[in-house]
Amino acid sequence: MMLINGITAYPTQTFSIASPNGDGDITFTLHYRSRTQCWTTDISFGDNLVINGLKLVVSANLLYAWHNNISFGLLIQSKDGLDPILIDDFSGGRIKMFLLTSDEVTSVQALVKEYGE
Amino acid sequence: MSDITGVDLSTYLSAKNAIIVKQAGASGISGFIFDIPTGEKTTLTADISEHYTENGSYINDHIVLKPVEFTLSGLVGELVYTKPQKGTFEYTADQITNALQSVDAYTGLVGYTSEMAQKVSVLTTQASYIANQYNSIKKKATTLLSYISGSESTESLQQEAYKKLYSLWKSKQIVSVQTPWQYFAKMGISSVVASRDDKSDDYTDFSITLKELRFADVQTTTFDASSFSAFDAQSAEEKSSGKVSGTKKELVSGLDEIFYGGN
Repeated sequence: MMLINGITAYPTQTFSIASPNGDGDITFTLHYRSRTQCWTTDISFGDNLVINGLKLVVSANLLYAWHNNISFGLLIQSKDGLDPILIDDFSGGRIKMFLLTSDEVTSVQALVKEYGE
Repeated sequence: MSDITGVDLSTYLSAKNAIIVKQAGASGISGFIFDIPTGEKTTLTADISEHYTENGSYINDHIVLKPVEFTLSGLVGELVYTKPQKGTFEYTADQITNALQSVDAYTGLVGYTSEMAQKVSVLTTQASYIANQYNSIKKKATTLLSYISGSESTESLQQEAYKKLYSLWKSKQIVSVQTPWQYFAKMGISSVVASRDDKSDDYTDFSITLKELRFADVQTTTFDASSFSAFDAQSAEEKSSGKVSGTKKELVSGLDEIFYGGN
């Protein structure tokens, strides 16, 4: 999995990163919603995917709902189990965001399934 | 009495019986004093939580101390006998009477017979009574004079006491209370009861209930200018970081690493 670097404590930031599968660039726009104390993201990937206002929460693959359409996944990891709620959660290192390859999406899904059973 | 016991009993009794409700910060006897205190009652209470458990017993794991409550009661009358003050004739007469009545041996030392001592005692009591009457008449005359000149109201002492308590209650005054057990610096008056029965109109039975006041402290911290206000965060201009890189990491081996990992 690929740790996304360079997320700052700025409330509205955009960046692009190469897909871990090498099939294009993914563009993220992160918004910190101070009123509701959460982070949301807009994601666009070529012509295949545009997602707006997806709330960032701790998850094995936040993009599982779109796994049939896209090759990558998005894993949000927390140090203490709490979702990102503060503006400096990413820059401070409490929350980390990873991109998953298509193989890793499958592996993570197996972990989730195993846990569920 | 002070000459015999070595203790100034009058001062001691005054201090013991003086239950003073005064304004916080006020000094001296600017506060309210009952003519005759009839009772004091302190209530120390706490709420102890009760949680039911499956095995039919209670778990009591919290105690919350409630504010101290204090009830003072006493009488305020129109005519009150007060112990003679030092330096007055009544005080001296009182001293002689008490000394003669209390210590028989004392009379022998000065050469008085028991009969003589009794006569002296009666005389001093009469003198004391006359002095009291004189003072009373003098006071009434002064009051009458003040009334005629318009410098004094015609309110009774009971009315004055009621008005004083009413103003303390109405103005939500923080009062300090000296009780026989403890001194309370910050109390609020939660109730004032003034009652009079059919026995006499010359005194009123007052009952004052006070509750301890607790105040929250305010702590001042420095403002962190680096943090965004809610409004600033919502309206911040979008900032582009361009193309960012990633760092290859090992795939998590379990869900615990997702929820409690990230080292």
